[in-house]
Amino acid sequence: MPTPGGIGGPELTSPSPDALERGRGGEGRSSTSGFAPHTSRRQANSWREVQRPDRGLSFPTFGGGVIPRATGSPQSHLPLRWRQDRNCTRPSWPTDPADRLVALLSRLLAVVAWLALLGPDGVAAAGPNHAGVVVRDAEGGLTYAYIAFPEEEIGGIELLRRTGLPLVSVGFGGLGEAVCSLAGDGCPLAECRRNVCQGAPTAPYWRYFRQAAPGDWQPLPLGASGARVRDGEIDGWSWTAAEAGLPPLSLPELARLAGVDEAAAAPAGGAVPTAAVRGVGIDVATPEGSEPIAYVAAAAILVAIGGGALVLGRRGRDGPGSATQTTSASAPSWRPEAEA
Amino acid sequence: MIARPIDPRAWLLWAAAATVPPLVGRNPFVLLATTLAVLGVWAAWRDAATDGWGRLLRLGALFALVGVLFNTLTAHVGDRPFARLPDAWPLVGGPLTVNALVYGLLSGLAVFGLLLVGTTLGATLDWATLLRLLPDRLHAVAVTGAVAWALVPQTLRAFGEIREAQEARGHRLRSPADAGPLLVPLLAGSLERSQTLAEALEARGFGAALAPQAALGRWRGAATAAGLTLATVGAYGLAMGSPAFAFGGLGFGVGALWAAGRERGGGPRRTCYREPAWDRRAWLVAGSAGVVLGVEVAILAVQPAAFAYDPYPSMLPPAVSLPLLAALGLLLVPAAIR
Repeated sequence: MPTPGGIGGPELTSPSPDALERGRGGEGRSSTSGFAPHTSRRQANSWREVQRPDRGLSFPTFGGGVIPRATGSPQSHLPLRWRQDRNCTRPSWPTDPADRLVALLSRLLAVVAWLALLGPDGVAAAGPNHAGVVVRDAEGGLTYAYIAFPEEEIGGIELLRRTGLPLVSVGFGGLGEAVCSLAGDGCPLAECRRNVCQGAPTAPYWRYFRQAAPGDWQPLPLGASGARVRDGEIDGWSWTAAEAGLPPLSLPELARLAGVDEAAAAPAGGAVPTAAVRGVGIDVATPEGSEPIAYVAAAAILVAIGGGALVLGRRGRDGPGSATQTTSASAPSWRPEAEA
Repeated sequence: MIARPIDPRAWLLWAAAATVPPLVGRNPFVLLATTLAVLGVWAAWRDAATDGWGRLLRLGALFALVGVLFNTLTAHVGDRPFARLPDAWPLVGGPLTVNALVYGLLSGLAVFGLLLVGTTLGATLDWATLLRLLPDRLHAVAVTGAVAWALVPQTLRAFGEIREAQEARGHRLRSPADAGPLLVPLLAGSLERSQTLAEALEARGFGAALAPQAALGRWRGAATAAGLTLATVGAYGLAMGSPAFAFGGLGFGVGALWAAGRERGGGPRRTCYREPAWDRRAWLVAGSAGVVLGVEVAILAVQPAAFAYDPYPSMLPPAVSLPLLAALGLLLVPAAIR
């Protein structure tokens, strides 16, 4: 059942207002509730390398080589007391509190220097790209999703997946991936594997469109797996066999419909949601289950059938006949035609 | 003492009733009930000398394994992932989910159930009687179908005999390279059997040109061919889950066959000296199967979810239809009257 005003979104991918505020605040922290910082994945990895110098690639830089050499002092005159383990090159943390403080400050300085070296491509580099997705369900309800992605371009299926809408797709190897069910509408996986939900020529299925110009929704017959989405593009998914039935949209307008103030968030370098979803078409109502007593009764019937099969099977094997007659020459079940 | 056979028409009705559930859905309760009932009938009617439990269980395990492997590796959908293969791997790359594993198991169970129905029919059906029951014009088609149906069981039986004979000579199958002494005699034996069969059929006039007065009319031959084709297409539609397509094809196919066979005259004639007796046991089997079929069709019309189960994207408890499960218990009737 569609519910008004951005219903399914909050349960699915849309953040709470608090999360929205946190996300826009640019705390630089990944969020699993739908919003991510205004940093790319690559940038986040850079942070991790910097902040965990004892792991990965950054260790030789921060582990005791750069800092002493940066001071220009010979190794024997280091202010810090490093202890090299014979079997491990990892330096131990100084025991003296003053040395600890110096070590900490040195590392922080090294971090700052490293970030500065990253330059415009580093943390403070250009923000992520954005694209929009419009989903039109079986009842005509529209769902808008505004997606931020750090890559130069991503696949259409990947973009759809990042909306967080409930998606069931099936892969066809080199032929790509087909959408079976989206936001509660679609067909079961078995049928999707057979005919991609197209039981009849006029039967609807999840058709993939791209907006070439506002209101000009062009179907992409090669499918979403082969399509690449770049910054500013809008994809459309419609449960239809013919026309798209999607409205003309611009990306800022779509962002507003999805609940994001793009103009306010993006240029400021603040956090932009990786997926903001809002719509009236999300229907993820779970199918009605049966009463617990029905399951007990079903189990009892299964036990009865299994017991009957066991008893009758044994009786048949040990009973009056041990083999089945398959020849008709002497079958008692035949009778002369005259008697019939 | 040898068990008296039941009329083939009753068996065919029973097989149709037992085939519907695995064809139209993956509900675990329905599949389990059907498989258990068919297993009971197979156990009661099997020939203990040739149909062993071991082979059947191995076959079931093989189908389950294939279903699980195929589905788990190719369907990367579901809310319960348990492992992940690199995305760069074609087709199999992506998350592996419990949802796909469960669906694969159910698919394996469905295929095993269908195979079990076919095995039971092969063990119980009186093919000679069935051939005589069919209209004269369909005799050639029926003989061809019977030969095709018997191909797999005969090949399996021959393979078992060859393996026993080779084992008696000290041969052991340890690697694919050891399969030669088994496959070569199997191929040679199959060719020899097919040649013998062809000679026997030719000696009985199978496929011979008909006399001008017995030749089939053009429209009647076309109607027969169209009817058979439509019926086959309808059966395929049923298996593919398109009821309208299936019933349309079956309806038109049966109609075309009926129209072709309505008019007397033309075509080969066979002499029938005896007719099979439709006894009380045939009534019981056919009646119970008819009830099961009726319940299945009714539930398919009003509550199709009772047959279905889809663990994607979330695994939820399957729907339960107690009338359907109770009706499926009637599939055990042939085991009870043996």
